[in-house]
Amino acid sequence: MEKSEIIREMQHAVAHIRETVHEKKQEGKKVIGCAPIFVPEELVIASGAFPVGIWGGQKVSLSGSQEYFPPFACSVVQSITELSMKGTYDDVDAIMLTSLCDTLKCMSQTIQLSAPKLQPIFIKHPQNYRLECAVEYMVKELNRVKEELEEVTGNKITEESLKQAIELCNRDRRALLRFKKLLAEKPGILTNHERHDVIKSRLYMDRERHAQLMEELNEKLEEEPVPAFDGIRLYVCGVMMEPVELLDILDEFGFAIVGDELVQESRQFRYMVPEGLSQVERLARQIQQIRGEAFLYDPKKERDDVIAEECKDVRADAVLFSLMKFCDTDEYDYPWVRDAVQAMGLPILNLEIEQIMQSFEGARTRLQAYAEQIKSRAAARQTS
Amino acid sequence: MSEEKLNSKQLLAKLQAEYMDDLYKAHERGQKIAWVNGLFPQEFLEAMDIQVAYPENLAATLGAKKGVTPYLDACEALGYSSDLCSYTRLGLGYQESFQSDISNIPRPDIILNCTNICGLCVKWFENTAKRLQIPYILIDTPFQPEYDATENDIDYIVGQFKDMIRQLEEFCGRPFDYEKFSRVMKTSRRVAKAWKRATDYVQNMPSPMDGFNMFNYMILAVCCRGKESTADYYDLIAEEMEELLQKGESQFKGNQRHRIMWEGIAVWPYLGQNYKTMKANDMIMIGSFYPAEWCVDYEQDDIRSIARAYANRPPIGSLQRQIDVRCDIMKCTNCDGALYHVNRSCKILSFMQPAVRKAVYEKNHKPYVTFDGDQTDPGGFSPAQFETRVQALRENLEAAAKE
Repeated sequence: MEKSEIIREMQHAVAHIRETVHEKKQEGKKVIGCAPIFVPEELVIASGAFPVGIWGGQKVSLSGSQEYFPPFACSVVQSITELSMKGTYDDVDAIMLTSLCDTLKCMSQTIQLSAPKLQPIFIKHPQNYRLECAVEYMVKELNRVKEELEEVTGNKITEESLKQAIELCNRDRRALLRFKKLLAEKPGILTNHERHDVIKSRLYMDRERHAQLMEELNEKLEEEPVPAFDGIRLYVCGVMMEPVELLDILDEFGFAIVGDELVQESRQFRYMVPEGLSQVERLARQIQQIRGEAFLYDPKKERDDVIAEECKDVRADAVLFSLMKFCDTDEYDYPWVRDAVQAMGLPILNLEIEQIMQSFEGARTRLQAYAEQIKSRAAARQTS
Repeated sequence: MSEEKLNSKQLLAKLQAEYMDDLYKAHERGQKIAWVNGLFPQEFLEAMDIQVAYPENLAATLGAKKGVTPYLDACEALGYSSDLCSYTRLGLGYQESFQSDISNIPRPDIILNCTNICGLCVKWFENTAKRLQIPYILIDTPFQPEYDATENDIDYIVGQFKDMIRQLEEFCGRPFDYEKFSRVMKTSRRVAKAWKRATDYVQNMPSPMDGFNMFNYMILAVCCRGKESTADYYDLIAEEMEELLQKGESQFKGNQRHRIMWEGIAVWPYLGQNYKTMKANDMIMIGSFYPAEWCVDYEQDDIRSIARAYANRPPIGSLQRQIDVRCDIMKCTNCDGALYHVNRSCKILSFMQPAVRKAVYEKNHKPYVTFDGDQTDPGGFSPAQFETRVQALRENLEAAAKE
């Protein structure tokens, strides 16, 4: 397949989620929603069901969600609630919900009212994840989740089917990590919007197909020469870069994303599932490898260190903190990230966004000014 | 000459002064100082002779005494969003100077947090630990979509307790004092029961206790839960309430025509205004989750029972439990109506609240109103809106009474 065909297939998946879900249902498959932030998709795949990302909707107009949330709730949760009330998830058989922040805890309860037919499956991550008692806890929790999925799908999840699912997801993760690296080596080879669609499509495609397409795409990208690029190498932090108009604006002003730690993107695949005694234990131990995760207890608060290291690795020129309004987790971390990045001599822009935002002129002006500021700094450095 | 018996107001002032003295003399006495969140299992710290300070309590105190603005400003100057919880903003601003003309707590040597109230404290304390370069210990009590804590939750919490003991031994450089731990448990249980007994006087009709006084009384239940003197204090309050009850009197000097549940944290900067507004509308606040929230009781010397007691706090239970807790409060205290604080700072108490309000109303048909507020940020509350909402509640209550 040509590069453009691969990307088109992935973009189609991102743009036609409801159709894909409907097709899966027609095929007799069960569909399991995967809400933010981290859920064990491997168990869903091993159960023979189709995992579909539930990450809200861009530019959704809120009306009904106000029945459940006051206006100071984050727009991702508001839009999930709104869509759940409008029947968008009617074809979904069950939804995996986490409690990794107070807003998600509340949504795990209110979604049972806003979408009463949607069966909830709770994923209770241990915040104290480095301890062995936390692994034992997670093993029991995942075994409960496994049983609940078996009940929904009517299929037994075996050691072998779970092993295969883990290997498949790890294969896809490796391909995504390779893809990220290639884009850092060859900035400008894809648009920021394309980069986002390629990564996001994993949430809405058969994982086998996604892994296969990723591997093919990587081959194509490896073959291509390094494009001429005189733009800005950008590292992005935050929950997500949606609405995608924001990415188009970045493209317009010469930014190329060379690295990210977005919850919806890299933080979904940056850690492999390790080896372990049983397949469930492997899944339980994945969390133990995490360093500097904003949504988990981090006594040394290493997120800013991790970002600084990654900025160095990808030779970022600048950082964008895409701050989802009312996301306390990111609001607590921004000053630390800013200080760490500035200590490296890099500029950082704190851009407050909402997934439901409809107007982009404010963001455009800020990003344009940011680009000009970075370019004039670089020019001044060259002349001196 | 025998010392004259103090009344509860005098005793509170004396015990608070002693508590502050203990905190500020800790280092002189070779003791460590910990900062913890409101419902942290302090028994483990008392057992290790660690003095415990509560930044949330400081925030409430400074809020009530109109002393928060410099710290909220200092926090925002550091780059934190003004959308963050105002307790947090105050804490992060305060730790830049540790200096207030109104009330202070000393710089901590260690910080500990339990997730049994607020998940965001995990981040707040993480930031404090990094800023002050001190160790940070977490006890994670998972959210309970199942209604309340499961056996798996309890196993995990007990595992964390064991690890905390190991870390505290390392931090203090001596073995954990299990004998003292047992004594502190006994005292803490006595405090829990005494607090509940005292505050349950609001269930009487008319109530001898002015419910707003619970906001003052609870300071020792928060800060000194492991001290015999705290239990004595609550016993004294109970005695005073019994005396008032026998005489048919009340601390509340207004008309108790309407008995109201106050849902959520107080609006500390506007306590007086809230009180006067309610009083002017013949309302006494008698229903609150504080009596149950600060009654942390368990089986003596039973670590699983302690884990369960600290895990089963109202804010982290399922929606159904949230509903049941409010229905029970309104039933036990014979409330006629409810005032719901939509608290800009507190997501865990505000984001399930619309569903809670609706379900509670469907069950008991008692009128309610909401008002927008903030626990500490004076800018997050409108006195005029509060007045209008309270008047509307009174009208609804009167209409309901006629029906």
